[in-house]
Amino acid sequence: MSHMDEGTLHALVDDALDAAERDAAQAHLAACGDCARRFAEATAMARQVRGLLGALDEVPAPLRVQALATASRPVAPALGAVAPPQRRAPLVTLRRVALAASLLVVAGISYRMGGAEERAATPAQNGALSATALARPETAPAGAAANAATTTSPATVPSAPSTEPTSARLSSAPSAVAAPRTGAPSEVQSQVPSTPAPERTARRADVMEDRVVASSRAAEVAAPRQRAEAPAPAPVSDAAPEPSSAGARAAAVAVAPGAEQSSRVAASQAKAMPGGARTAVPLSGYTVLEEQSLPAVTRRRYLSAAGTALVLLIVQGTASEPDAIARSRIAAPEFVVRTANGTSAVRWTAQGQSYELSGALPPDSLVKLATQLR
Amino acid sequence: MGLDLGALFRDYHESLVRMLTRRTGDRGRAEELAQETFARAVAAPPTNPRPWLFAVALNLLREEGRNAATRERRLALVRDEDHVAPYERPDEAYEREEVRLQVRAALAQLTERDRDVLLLQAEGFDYDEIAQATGLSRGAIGTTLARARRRMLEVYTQGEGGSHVTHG
Repeated sequence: MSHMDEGTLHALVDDALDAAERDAAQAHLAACGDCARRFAEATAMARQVRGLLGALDEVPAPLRVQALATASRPVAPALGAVAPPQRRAPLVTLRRVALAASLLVVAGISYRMGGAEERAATPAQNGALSATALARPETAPAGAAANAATTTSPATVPSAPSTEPTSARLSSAPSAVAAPRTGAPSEVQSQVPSTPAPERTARRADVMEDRVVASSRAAEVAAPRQRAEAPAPAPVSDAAPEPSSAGARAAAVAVAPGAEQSSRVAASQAKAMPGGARTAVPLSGYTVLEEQSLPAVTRRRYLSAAGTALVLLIVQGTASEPDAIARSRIAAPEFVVRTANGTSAVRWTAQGQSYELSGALPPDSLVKLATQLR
Repeated sequence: MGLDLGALFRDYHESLVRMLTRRTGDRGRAEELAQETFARAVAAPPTNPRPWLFAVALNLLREEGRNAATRERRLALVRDEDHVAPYERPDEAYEREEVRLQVRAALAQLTERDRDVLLLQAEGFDYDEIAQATGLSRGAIGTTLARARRRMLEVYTQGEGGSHVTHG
């Protein structure tokens, strides 16, 4: 009898032969040493290739949060003096993402049907892959947090005056505050900038397409944040000194007292922000690290015990995306954006305000968390 | 109508993004393609979702490759310049990156068809599904996979400088 062809051998490896073919193939293998050896080789090849493909999967993303520029077309006219026109945020990034509108709904549904972490289970052939997926440090805690969150009733969204959003890097701040509390994030956050925050943020912002705007805005926000990053135990409240470099128009800056308290309990309780003078929306599993209330935007930073940082931006006015709504059959005012390095942003609008929650989590985990805020 | 979007998303999104990430080497782009694919599923609910989704995604990828202008419309990604993965020591990260580059190079040596078949199989597709997603005949899948695997390992082994013999 002739030897088995390569395709049949691999089909046997992949269990893709029908019963009769498989029986014939196995009978042949039992009788033919050459083919038995080739079968073993094919089995090894299949396994090796799977392993190699697994090497292409993502390295765990750094714990770094980046608030994308949110589209905020309508800037409150009354705030014109406070928010000059050139500070307007670029809308570009939303355009392509508009398609995601429909997915938000999909994602939303999927939460109700099962946790994100359950989805990490992959086909049996991909054992190595699922291990990779599960090993991603930010995924598991986030999923857990999100799960814990489901019992929490959705909190009311605070109303806030608005401005533009910023692009700012927030990675360093959590470490200073969180390390004493949990110890966990410290090694993750080891890239604490040695340069002063404003320069650093501005440099990063330069990467963005809207250079001038982003830089100036980033500097504006970075300046008050510098205060927040100081590991001072006492909350800093209101009226931060005007940093000359930024010409900041920050009306008030507040560091949430929650940052110094134990994480879970503090996070699950709404808290009045000294500067923002409004209720902090609890995100279970997360502590409010800091809240900034600029004239037209409220920016709140959360940190989980596992070291995952999130940013919530609340901007007055809704960035309606006719494009998105036209292209999706479902008029959901929501978008999920996946950026580089595993950072995602979820956007939605409610009560005349735009919200953006961003962080180094998979989009679906973020959506799940976002449902708590609504 | 009749399309369980939640189930669809839950069952296939992660797998689709992984496949596209492996295929493109760009997670962000993979996410976008996946989103667009699901958006199309919403518009025109498929009867046999898995092969359909992956076929649409691979087609989108090809279209995108043909049309450079499309790339311009992609989400502007804000890159982390000084990105270091937090849970990986630098030497490990380097090593991993080396392997990754070699695997990418090996994958790039395959024909598009072989590559697609390989990636679909790695996502747990059976031969029928692979045939549906690629348009190949079912009988050709085993041969295609055999060739793709062999080629992949050959190129990868060469890339390693021949220091490891993966098969004999």
